[in-house]
Amino acid sequence: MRTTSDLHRYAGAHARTRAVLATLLGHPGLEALVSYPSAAAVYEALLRTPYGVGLTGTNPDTPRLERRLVAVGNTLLGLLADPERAFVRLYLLHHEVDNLKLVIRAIHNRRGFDGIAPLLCELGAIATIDPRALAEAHDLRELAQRLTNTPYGEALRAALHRLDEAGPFALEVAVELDYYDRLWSAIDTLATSDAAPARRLLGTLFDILNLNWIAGYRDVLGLSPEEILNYTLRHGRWITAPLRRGLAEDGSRSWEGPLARTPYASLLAAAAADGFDAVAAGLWRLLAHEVQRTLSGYPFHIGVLLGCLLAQEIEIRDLQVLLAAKRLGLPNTEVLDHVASVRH
Amino acid sequence: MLSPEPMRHVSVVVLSADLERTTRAIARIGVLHLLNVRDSVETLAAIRPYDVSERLAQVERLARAVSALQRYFELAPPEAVDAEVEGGGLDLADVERRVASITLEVDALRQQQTRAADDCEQLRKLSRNLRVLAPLGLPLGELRRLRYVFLTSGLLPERNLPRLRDSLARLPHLIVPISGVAADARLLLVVVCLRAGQETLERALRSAQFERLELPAHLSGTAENAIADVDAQLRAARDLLAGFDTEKAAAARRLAPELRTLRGLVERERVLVAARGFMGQSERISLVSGWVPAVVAPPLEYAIRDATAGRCVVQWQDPAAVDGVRRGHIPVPILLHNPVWIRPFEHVLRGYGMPRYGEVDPTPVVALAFLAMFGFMFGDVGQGAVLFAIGYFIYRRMFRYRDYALILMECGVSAVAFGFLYGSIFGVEHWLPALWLRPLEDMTTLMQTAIVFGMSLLSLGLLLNVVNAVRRRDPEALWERNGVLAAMAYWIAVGLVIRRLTAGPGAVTLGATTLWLAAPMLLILLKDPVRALWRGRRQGQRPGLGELFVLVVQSLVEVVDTVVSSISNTATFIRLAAFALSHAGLFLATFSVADAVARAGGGPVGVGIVLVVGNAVIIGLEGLIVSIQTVRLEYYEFFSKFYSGGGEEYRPLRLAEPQARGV
Repeated sequence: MRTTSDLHRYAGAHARTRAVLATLLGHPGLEALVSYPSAAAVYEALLRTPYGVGLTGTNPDTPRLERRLVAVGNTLLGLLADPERAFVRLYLLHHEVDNLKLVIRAIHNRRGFDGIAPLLCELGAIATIDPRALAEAHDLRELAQRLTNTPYGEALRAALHRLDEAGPFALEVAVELDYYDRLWSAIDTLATSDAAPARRLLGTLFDILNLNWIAGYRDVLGLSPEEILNYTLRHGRWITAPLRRGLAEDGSRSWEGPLARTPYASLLAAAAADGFDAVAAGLWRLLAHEVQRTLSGYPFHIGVLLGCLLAQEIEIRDLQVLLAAKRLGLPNTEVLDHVASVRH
Repeated sequence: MLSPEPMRHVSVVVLSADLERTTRAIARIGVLHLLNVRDSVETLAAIRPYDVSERLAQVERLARAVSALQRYFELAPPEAVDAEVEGGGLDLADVERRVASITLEVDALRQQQTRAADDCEQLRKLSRNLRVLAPLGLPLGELRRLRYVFLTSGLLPERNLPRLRDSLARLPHLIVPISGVAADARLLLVVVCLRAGQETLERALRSAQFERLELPAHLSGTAENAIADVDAQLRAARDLLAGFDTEKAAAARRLAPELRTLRGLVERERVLVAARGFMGQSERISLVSGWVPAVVAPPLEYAIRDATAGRCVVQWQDPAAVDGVRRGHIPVPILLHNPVWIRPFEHVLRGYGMPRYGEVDPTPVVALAFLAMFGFMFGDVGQGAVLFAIGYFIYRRMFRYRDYALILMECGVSAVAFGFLYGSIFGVEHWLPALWLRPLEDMTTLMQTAIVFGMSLLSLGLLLNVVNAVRRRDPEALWERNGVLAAMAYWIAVGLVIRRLTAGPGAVTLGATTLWLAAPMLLILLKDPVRALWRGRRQGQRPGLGELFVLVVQSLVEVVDTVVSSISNTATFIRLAAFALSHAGLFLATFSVADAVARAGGGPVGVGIVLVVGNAVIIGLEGLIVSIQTVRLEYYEFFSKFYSGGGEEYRPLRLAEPQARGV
């Protein structure tokens, strides 16, 4: 019975997901791109891939790779019904949160919309806010006013009182944490068979985000443990509150000890010596493996769709890394170390 | 009708000093479809396109600024723009200065407003904080003098409470929610810890977005006592804020007309600057080129000469004389010219693409066929009248949808006409005599008529394909798919069918049918190989046997395709009869339900409700389905015979959209 219902809900989306996965460049594609001599040549080559449609007419220095993700997301959304549709849409809106953070910076630094336009992710029909209109706000208080009746209004208003003391950072963190809290809560709206894979994949993603943030807050900004705990996500797969506290309070800046019982310990073993950024690709690779495992199991649940979108996002991240590495002139062998896509 | 408006190409050379005046004159008369000099000028190497990017950016910036001012004053939405306003001699620099001056004035007012609003907000918060603390009955001074305990109160987003508890896990503390969730999803809390842990607690509270209830040092006594004072200050601050609101409203009234004018001027400039991007210039002269409906060529020339005081060269050409048109890289724009009652059906055409210049404009045929098919499937006097009434209502009340209203009214008339032919009024068939037939009683005639209609429409499509080929002087197209040979084969087949229907089954034998159809089929089969041989002979390079074999196989496929598609294209028109029957069948179902309701004691009211709802459902559902089927038959069966679309629509340079179309 369950299978029949799942089949009914996911047959179309599953078929389309398989088609989308077939268009990913994958590790071989990335290896081929690495062999191109320059970032411009990689960009030219990308024009002949499924990314080409979105890239046409864009600036090679700020390629709009995410247009492919939005196109894929739109296609999948068209094949789903609520609550799955609402959930996948909410997941895609993490790009909108990034857009909103850019708008906050633009208003705070008085850069205007033109200053951030090349960096914004164009979400089309998925979007719930219009960054251009928002960027015209006179100040951040007006922005909060304009965001009334949007999902971001409440969080932004509640953080406004910290503007003078903490600057736009307070607003960015508030909006971001609120979004991820809502996303995690939205899992409860899904059927049980969907909730488990969603928690597994998003939990891993939340872990990675937390680890990245902790690295920044602790090692770069030197924030106190209680601040770190308040600026990170409460949910995740392996990273629990005691673990977050352990990491935040660890004066030796080690990762291995506090994370000993998680799969991240071995991945971050070299972080203390080489720096977190040098090993961060390993975390995304772990997520890519998780995605692959989800995609190869029982096919009729939301995990397959989330996995497809995550795989697309990981590949976009890899392409951005690759283009940046080419611009910096890094050797090809070194570039592949920072790539997260896994061999199929 | 049947042909798009004849166009003429115009090239205008003016002194660069006169270009602005000329452009304004052209835009004012609004008939020139601009052609980009990048496409049209190849021989004049000295002419280069205008670079308008900077100017356009300036105009966009100004448009945004004016729009922001209009938004601040909550004036009419920016899209309601009249680009033909009179600016009283203002140019763009004047507009920029004026916008800057108004922005300065507005900024000052806005700052005062913001300050007053901030004061209000502070006092409102203070009043709220005091009300929160009042029930505790503690003297405010004492709260500030606690030595061993640190106590603070404030608001925390409800969602952050678990996060705050996590972060304070190692610090002895007490969190006491004072009341339920506040209006903005925040909790009112009192948080207490030992003085030694104050710093840690404050850090944790801050990072959890805790908003402390600030109490100014000058407040003394209990919170209860201070409330009256603070409320009085709050009332004064609100009065001040209201004063600024009144000032803003007055400024809005004063500046609204000017802002509308400025917005119009900016929009006008945007149109003109964008138009400039299509033009070219050399050191002293500028070039404008484009397309004009032949009938309005003289007024345009007069306007240009008038604007330049005769200092211009205006050169006219027919489309056939334009090199780019001959070589196929410059399209001639299409201006359809149809009577008012047919014009709404141009939307059907646009849905498929505009015809190319020189081709037949099939809008009249589309309109007539649409109405005939709609009426055929939806024939009913009563429901037709309802459709007409709905169309009329939309026409009178919602002018922007007038095209669709006209289509609805015309479909209503057609349904009424067919209703009389079927003798049906709201499905009742004994009130009116059937002037032709009753669909459910004479299905054979209905189906035969549908097929004959389909044959006629397809024949017309094939004929139009030949006419288009001749008009385009494209002899190749005559022999392509749906060309002369396919038309010949189709008409022979139609003739044989008619003969069989009129003279009886024995009149047309299988042998005669084969013989008649063999000739065109054989020609279709051989045309490609023969053409290849003929072309090879002219070029002195004979095609190989393999190539000829491939061509024969291709032609064979074409023959099969022609036969199959002709049969299926014709047979599909039987749906006209099927939907006419389904329309009558739905009435039957409605009456059956009404009878059942009457038998069940539903009374006249129940029966009436069933009949009204049934008719409404038929009008809505069947009307929609019939429209879709009609469009489908036009697009897939009729258009596929002759129409390729791909033409460019005529879009003249204009300062404002005219209320009524036509030039």
